[in-house]
Formats: sequence, C-alpha cells, structure tokens
Amino acid sequence: MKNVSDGELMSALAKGNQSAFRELFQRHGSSVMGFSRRLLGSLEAAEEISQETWIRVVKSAEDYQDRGTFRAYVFTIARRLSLNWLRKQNRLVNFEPDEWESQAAPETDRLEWQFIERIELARLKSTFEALPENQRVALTLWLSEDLSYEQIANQLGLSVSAIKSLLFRARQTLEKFQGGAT
Amino acid sequence: MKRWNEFLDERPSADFENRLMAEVAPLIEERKKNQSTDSWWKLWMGLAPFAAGLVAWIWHFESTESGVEHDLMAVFGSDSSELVAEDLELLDDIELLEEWETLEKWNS
Repeated sequence: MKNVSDGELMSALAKGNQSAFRELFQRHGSSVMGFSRRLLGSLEAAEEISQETWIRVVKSAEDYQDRGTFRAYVFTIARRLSLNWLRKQNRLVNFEPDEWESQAAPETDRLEWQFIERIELARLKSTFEALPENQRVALTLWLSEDLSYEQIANQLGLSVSAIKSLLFRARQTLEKFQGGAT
Repeated sequence: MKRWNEFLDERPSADFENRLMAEVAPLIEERKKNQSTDSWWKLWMGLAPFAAGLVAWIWHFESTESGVEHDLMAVFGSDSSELVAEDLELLDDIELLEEWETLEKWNS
C-alpha cells in the first residue's frame, strides 16, 4: 500500500478495505492529532476531535472526490470540528483582540515566519502553549492550513485587522526565542 | 516549514489507535456490505433496460403470434392450440393467392 495514493486509498476504503484506512491513518494520524492539539490546547480534547474526524472520513469515503490533497480534506474536517468544540465551550467568544492591539498591525508574509526554523523544538512547544488562546488558534490556522487572513477571519468570526493583530502579537512573542540551539 | 510541521505532528498513542480501530471497524464492515448490495443494485439497474426490452419483445411476439392464430382460426375455424407450422405456411399461400387473384382482376 506504500505506493498507493491517498485518493486510491479512499476509493478502497469506500469499498470497505480496512487496510486502506490503516494506511491513511499511518500517513496522516499524527498531523491530525497535532493540529487538533494545537487548536484545542489539550490532549483529551484533541483525541476526541481526532477520533470524530477519522470516523467522518470513513463515513464520507464514498463521496470523496480526489480533487485537492487528502491532507487539506482531513484538516478541513478537523478544523470544523475543533472550532465547533471551542464554540460549544464558549471559548471563541472573547477572541477579538483589544482595540489598541488591532490598530496598525502590519500584514505578515509567510516567509517572515522562517525564523521558527531557528527555535528549538521544545522551546517552540512551551512558548506556543503559553500564547493566549486567540493567538494560538489564529497562528495554527495560518501556518498549518495556509489559510488567508480573510479565511481565518471568516472561520473565527473576526475582522481581518483582528487576525493581523493576533498574528503580529504571536510573532513578536515567538521571535524572542529565535536563535536557540536546535 | 519543516520545523512547524515537525512541531505539529503528534503521534497518537497506541491506546488511542486501538480505540479508534475498534470504533471504525464496524463502519468499514458496513461499507463492505453496502458495497456488495450496491453492486447488485447497479447490476440490476444496468440490466433493467435489457429486461424491459426482452419483456416488450416477448409481449410483441406473443400478441403477433396470437394475432396470426386468430386469423387462421377465422380461415379454418380450428382450435388455435392445434395449429402447426404447416398452417402458417398455408397462410402465406393464401396471401399469395389473394395477390394473384387481385392481379388477375386487373388483367381482365
């Protein structure tokens, strides 16, 4: 199954092939779990969302159309479930940054985030987890899914300037730790 | 970004994987059953036009045959169940005879 594409595995899964599911999980299980964990901030919640994501993958296998990448597909499911989970917990209600923070936050380019490569993994993890929840969620969507400002704003029900501000603040915090030993 | 992707990845525990597999196994099995039902259904759907055509042809053949039998009964007054191939050949002869008679009339 190693040389089989994700799309072909989904077709096999739609026909009830359990090995195809195992292979998809081997390939993307870690990304889905990590993505959910970064969004939700807890392992327990990430496992709940991750499990639901994979169940939905099985249920929707027959309707899957191999247009984009499977990764983008499974991340979209995980993102929707995660944001719904946060909404149910009333944790998306105070996502709007303070007014003074929203002003004049410059637009950031993904290339400017290359500095992350210079942050030690353990330090990146601890710093990331210490970020305010709204910054953490915006940053995860920004770096993991390549969503635009408008798309993130739409997902979180915030203005584009609010997203710029959240990313700018997150970047400032993380930049302090660049240059650490790798 | 390599570091971000490295950071993003979080290997699920073996316990989680086992629980997930136990959860999805019946769903996948159900897919397999649905698939075979779907296959039969698709086969039937594919055969339906041919089956309809066959029924229509049989019906047409039956009605044509009974029409022929009816005509022969009118000519011979016999029970149609006893009609044999010879009678059908005879019908052809009668039609030829009629045509010949018509031509005779025109000629005279």
